[in-house]
Amino acid sequence: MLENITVLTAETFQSYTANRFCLVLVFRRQCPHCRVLMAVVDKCRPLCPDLAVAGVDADDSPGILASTGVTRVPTVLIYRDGGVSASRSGVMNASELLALIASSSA
Amino acid sequence: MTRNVVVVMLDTLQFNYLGCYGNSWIRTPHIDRFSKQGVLFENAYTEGLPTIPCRRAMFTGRYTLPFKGWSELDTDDTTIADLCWGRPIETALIHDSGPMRLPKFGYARGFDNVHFIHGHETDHQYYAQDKLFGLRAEDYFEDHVMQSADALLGERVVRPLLNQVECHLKERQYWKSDDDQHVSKVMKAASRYLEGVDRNKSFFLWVDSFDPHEPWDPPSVYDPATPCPYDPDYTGKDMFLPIQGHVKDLYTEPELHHIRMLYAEKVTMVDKWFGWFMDRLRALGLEENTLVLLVSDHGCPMGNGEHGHGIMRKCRPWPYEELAHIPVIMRGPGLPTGTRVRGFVQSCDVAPTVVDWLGIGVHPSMQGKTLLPLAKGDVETLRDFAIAGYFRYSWSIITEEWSFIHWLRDEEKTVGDARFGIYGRDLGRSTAHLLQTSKVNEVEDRDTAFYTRAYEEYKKGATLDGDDQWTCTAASSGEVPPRDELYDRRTDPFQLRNVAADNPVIARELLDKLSLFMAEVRASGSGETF
Repeated sequence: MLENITVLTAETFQSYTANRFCLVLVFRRQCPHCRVLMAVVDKCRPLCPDLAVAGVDADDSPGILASTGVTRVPTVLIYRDGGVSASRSGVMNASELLALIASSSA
Repeated sequence: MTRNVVVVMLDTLQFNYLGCYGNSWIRTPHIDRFSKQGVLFENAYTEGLPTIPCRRAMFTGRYTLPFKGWSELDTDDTTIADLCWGRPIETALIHDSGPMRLPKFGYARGFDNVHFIHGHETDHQYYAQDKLFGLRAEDYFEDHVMQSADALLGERVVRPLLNQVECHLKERQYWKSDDDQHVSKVMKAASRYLEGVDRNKSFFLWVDSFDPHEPWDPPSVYDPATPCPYDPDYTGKDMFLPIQGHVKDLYTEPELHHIRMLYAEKVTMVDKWFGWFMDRLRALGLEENTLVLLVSDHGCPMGNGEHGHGIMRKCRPWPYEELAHIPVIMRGPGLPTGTRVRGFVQSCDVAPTVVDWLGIGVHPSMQGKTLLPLAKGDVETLRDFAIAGYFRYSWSIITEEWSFIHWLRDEEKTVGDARFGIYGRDLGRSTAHLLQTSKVNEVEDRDTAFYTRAYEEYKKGATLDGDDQWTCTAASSGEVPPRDELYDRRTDPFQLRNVAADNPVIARELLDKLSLFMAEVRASGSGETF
């Protein structure tokens, strides 16, 4: 599942989120909850064609966690216009994730 | 020919108190014979404990552990009775299970016929305003228990429990034999239903007997001519509704033994009435087209060691073997007889089995599996492991070789807080109306205290249900939490010697497997078929 998403680094994170409507999934590779949430994200992607999807490996990019204030994984951050417009930690089902994405435009 | 289903739920029927599950000294001849007529599942586990989550799983065919505890049935829940709607299948629920009809819980939803028998635990206030003649609640507690319980348990428990026992005595004072017991009334009502059922249509009958759940008041407690068959020489008081809590310093070992013997006597009595009901089914000519499932929701902690890990009754969210392992036995035309199956079975398999037998087909929302292929021997197993636990508190995974318990909290507070967390916390919304109207002559007991506390927390919007159980910290080490427990099922089936420290790799593998499974169930939604 990881191969399907762009994994952001300290170098690419800022520019990627600056002007995109995008979902950033903060994860750890060995976390079972993260693996399940990645599958849920994959399930929802066809329903949100305008939404870009990327990931942040918490172990590789502690600086991004510090700058975004994320302390737990998995965490989903929805960016619009360069800022976080919605976020949630923990496993979600597809309906909950779609609702979170929808709430970001409210 | 029409096809029917009868599910007989016997609440709190501990598997190892039955002869067919290996007990050598408690008489259960009728259930033992029933097992020889059908298929016995040796490794059946309730996933979400206790009473109410188990009913939700059995009615809906869905795991509950990641979603819901002691709370009302939701519109999202699709039950067996809901699936029978619009089909030539009549449905009936005959029960005395107080928890199922807690305010707004709605577990009778969708049944065409509902018959409820009042008075068992959780519905004991039905008798609260009656007069009591000649009996005293204090006669059913040893003096040292009444004198020390409040201080030992750190909360006011004695008076509310005496009030509850008085409610039971107000009903029981007129009983003369086992014929007056709740299980007798439930089985007779079920028999009456079958006598009048339309043979041209199928039926689905759920018989839910709260016996042998406590109070453990079999005939020896009130009939001087009937000594307890398993402890006839005991001279102490019959503590038939023992105070919940840690047993250390609260009860002596002989007292704990006698409490278990009262329970065993009640199991034998329930077995008799189950046998009576099966005889009625046979006499009515319904055996040849009726699937009968005998199930329970859980066992019960009743003392030290394998009897209950040091607690009395379900006052801690501990999913140990004596609680989570349940009897499941199935008998039906065309199914094998005298067969024992080792494959893991879960409470959420009941609904798929019922709707499969009735020809409805397994609904896509159901996560459990139909047991029919397993019973017939078409498959050897349905899953590699079972799970069990308490919503918000504990997850457990049971494999052929191991059992592993993952605690969702670093520690538990008092017994009172734990009990409220299990039984009371989610009652705020469904019982708010009780607190909004005054009740004349209200009798205080454990339940009324729960409602008050739940209502107060509901008003404040307080909740314990954070997202922590579905996340880990970015800095976590990947080590198995020190509180988690691992047991070797082959040498230690009742989980008395924690070997997690000696087997860290196995513990880690089981925790990962458990976490992944729970996350997958959580991500599958609550009733959605997305």
